[in-house]
Amino acid sequence: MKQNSAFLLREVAGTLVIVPVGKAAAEFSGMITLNATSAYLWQLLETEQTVQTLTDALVARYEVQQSKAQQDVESFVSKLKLVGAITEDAQ
Amino acid sequence: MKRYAIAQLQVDMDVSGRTLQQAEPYACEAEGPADIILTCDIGRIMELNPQLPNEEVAEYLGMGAAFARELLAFQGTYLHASAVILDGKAYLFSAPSGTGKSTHTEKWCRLFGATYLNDDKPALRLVDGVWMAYGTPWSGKHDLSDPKGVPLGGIAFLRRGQENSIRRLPSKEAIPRFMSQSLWRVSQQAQMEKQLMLADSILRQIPIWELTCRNDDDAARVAREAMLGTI
Repeated sequence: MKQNSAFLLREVAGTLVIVPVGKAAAEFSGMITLNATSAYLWQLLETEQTVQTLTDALVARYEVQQSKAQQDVESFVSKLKLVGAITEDAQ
Repeated sequence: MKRYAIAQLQVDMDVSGRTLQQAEPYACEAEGPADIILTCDIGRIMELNPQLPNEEVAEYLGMGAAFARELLAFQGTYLHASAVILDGKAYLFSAPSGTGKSTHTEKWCRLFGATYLNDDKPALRLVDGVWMAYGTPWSGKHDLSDPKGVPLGGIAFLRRGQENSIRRLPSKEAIPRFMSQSLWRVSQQAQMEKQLMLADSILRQIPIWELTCRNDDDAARVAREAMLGTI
């Protein structure tokens, strides 16, 4: 999976947000605000990632437990999927 | 085309029906070229929104949306809100339709002598470093609007609850609420960038509140005390 290029990361009044532009904006009905961890994950998603590679990256960077990291990744990924902010390659 | 003065901008548009009627208080003599020329494709709006009852409504909404997009070029945007003026400042109450925006502002008028600025889509513009709120012809079904502009004093996002309470919203919570009730469906990236810049400025300068309220007069007192500060 990777970022849908129709979504942008921007900072508004000190908070990081992901917003859609173009066609995605017409269909989008929510908004995602990010903390430092999810902003880092979003950055990684500029290139192709899996839950496993994202989890490993969090463990390496934040020295958190594998299980906690995976939970964070899965929760963030499901939010992104819900609004179509990431695309999955056909397997 | 007819000339109107809306949000301190010279606006040209040819409209009919409800839009023409609600724009009437904004009509003015043309002085120089227009800042904004508004047009919309009513046929296409009807096609894209089959739920609209007729062309009159399509024109009203289409022109409103066109005005909102054009405002971006003049450091401006709008908020879906009922807005009143009290002590020379505008207080905006925003929420999804049906939450009770107008019910709440009616209390401000009755209890505190506030007056309506706009009951649906007031314009907001940053003019000489100050955020101003303006009435617009897009003022809802009761057409409560005043063409003037006053400094923006505060924005409250309303929700229904068992008790009346009010709290300042941190930006993380304020952003999604502001965006969902403002200009959101823009197709061009440059317009979205501009909208985010303006939202950034509003959220930094203007107190943003969450008002949880029952549908009673006490809700207005709770809101006023916090939003105007205790004097």
